Amino acid sequence: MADRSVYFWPAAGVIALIATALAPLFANDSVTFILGLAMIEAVFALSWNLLFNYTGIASFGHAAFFTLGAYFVACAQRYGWDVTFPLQLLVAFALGGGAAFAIGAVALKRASGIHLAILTLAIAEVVRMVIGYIDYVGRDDGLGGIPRPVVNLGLATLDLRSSSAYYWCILVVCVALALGLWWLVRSRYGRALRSIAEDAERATFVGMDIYKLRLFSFTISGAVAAICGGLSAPWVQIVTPDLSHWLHSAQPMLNTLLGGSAMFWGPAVGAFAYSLINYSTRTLDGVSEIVVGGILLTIILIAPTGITGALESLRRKIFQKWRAASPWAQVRVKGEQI
Amino acid sequence: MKPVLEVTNLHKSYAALKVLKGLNFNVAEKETFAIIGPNGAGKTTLFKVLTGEVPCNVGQIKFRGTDITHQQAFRRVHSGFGRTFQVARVFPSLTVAENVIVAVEARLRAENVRSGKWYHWRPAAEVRDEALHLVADLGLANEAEREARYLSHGDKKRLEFAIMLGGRPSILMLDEPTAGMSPTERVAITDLIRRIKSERGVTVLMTEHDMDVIFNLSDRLMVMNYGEILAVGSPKEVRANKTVRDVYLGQEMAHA
Repeated sequence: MADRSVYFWPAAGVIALIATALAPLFANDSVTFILGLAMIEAVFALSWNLLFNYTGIASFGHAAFFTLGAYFVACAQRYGWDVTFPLQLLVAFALGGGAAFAIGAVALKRASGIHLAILTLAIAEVVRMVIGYIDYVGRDDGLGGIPRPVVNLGLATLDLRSSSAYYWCILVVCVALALGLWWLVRSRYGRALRSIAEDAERATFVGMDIYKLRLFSFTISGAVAAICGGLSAPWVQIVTPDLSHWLHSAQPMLNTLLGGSAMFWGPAVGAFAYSLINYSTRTLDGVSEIVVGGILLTIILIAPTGITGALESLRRKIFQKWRAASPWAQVRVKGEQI
Repeated sequence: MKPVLEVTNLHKSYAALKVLKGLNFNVAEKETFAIIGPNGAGKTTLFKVLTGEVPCNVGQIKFRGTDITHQQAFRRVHSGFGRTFQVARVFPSLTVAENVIVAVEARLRAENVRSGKWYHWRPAAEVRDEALHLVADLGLANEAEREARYLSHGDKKRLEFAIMLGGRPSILMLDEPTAGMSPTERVAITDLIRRIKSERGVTVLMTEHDMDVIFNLSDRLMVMNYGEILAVGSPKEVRANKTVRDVYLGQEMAHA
């Protein structure tokens, strides 16, 4: 008899996806808005974890790429540039990737570990400062009143101006990006990246150009973060330099810690859990930050492997108990190679 | 016979500390060349310089006639270097099979050989076959799907050999292959090295502290002390050398 509990994660994933997809039909506007943001933050966190868990690089300034994508799409929408929305997202992808490539090409050559973390942190702060000096993008006030797009597909037009239409657009893009990352970490490149994360020197001596592979990972990660930014601008309808604040760079880290870095979907689970905690404490005037902090601290102390890590060990435990109690247990153990 | 590895006037110092003081030696095709010497003699540094982990200050290293002095470590691997570490280093959270698959795939990437469709997750059948064959060849067939972190020290060493052979090296650089092992394991590893040598016709360059292993395996020995070469020669010649006896082997060994 096969281990039925292997269906736990796929089933949970499908249910979560269906629930998220149907949310605009049932939930009120503010819940829908928060879910849309959570999806974007989820993919943002996944792109950060591609670096952290799968390549062994800690970036503390990941929000810089997010900001780049957000400001590009914001300008294009606000000033009515003649670029269709899908192309805007692609350009955001390219911009983020290009910036990550340029930064990574210099930074990854010299720095690793804590040095790289501080370097990326500094770059994100510089981005925030520079934006504050540019009139065209509204200096410290940012750009507000960003219209949502209407996409002309030739035969038909896709009107994304309504909140639910744009929500589904976010859903489709986020699912596509997440599946792309999921494929990447499982492919042969993902295997190579994982081996670098485990032991970079050892990886060098199986003939891997670790600089090149790290740069590849950094570029992809930056590009995905920029698309997330691009998606967020018409959703929130305002962009401010604070998108590049270190607090925003810390968001994917927090989501990853909360959800668990070891499993691929951990950061995404963390992003939704964080939104839930934030939303349910919103009425606690004045003490909500303290309550949120307390809840996060408790979860991380109780489950150092994050929510997914805790669920995974629970799944295994329950399965083992069930198997031990089963009359087939003895027969199976004899047949297996242990 | 033309030497595989030619080392000329090799110097290396860390700040004011001179670790290697002008080494000259050659390693011939298909021989087992062992480097011995007391702790602090510069064996490990020499090893690191040869494999490309640290650059040398002065001197030249030639591999099969090509100057590789300034070549990066991974490029040396592409041209035929294989390496094991003093304390076995594997990829702990990858399975035993994946450890070797990663090495085979890295080799294919370096050779620009396409294995399977680009969008396939799973390693191509031929990659998997080659890796599993190596895993089985080193006696780890039953462990193939286990995470490497759970292996015993001896098995980790075997896995490290499998990872190395996945790169199809022509010269094996073994840094104390039997360090920290029980006498039985030591004999097993010695036999393994001999078998790999006879099956694959590779050159072996090793450092080692265990004299049984050294005299058992090596065709030629190089004795180092304070960054200099004391003696080079067959085990017999080295054993007869008076300076070597005084510095390293001691009287007992010389009569053994």
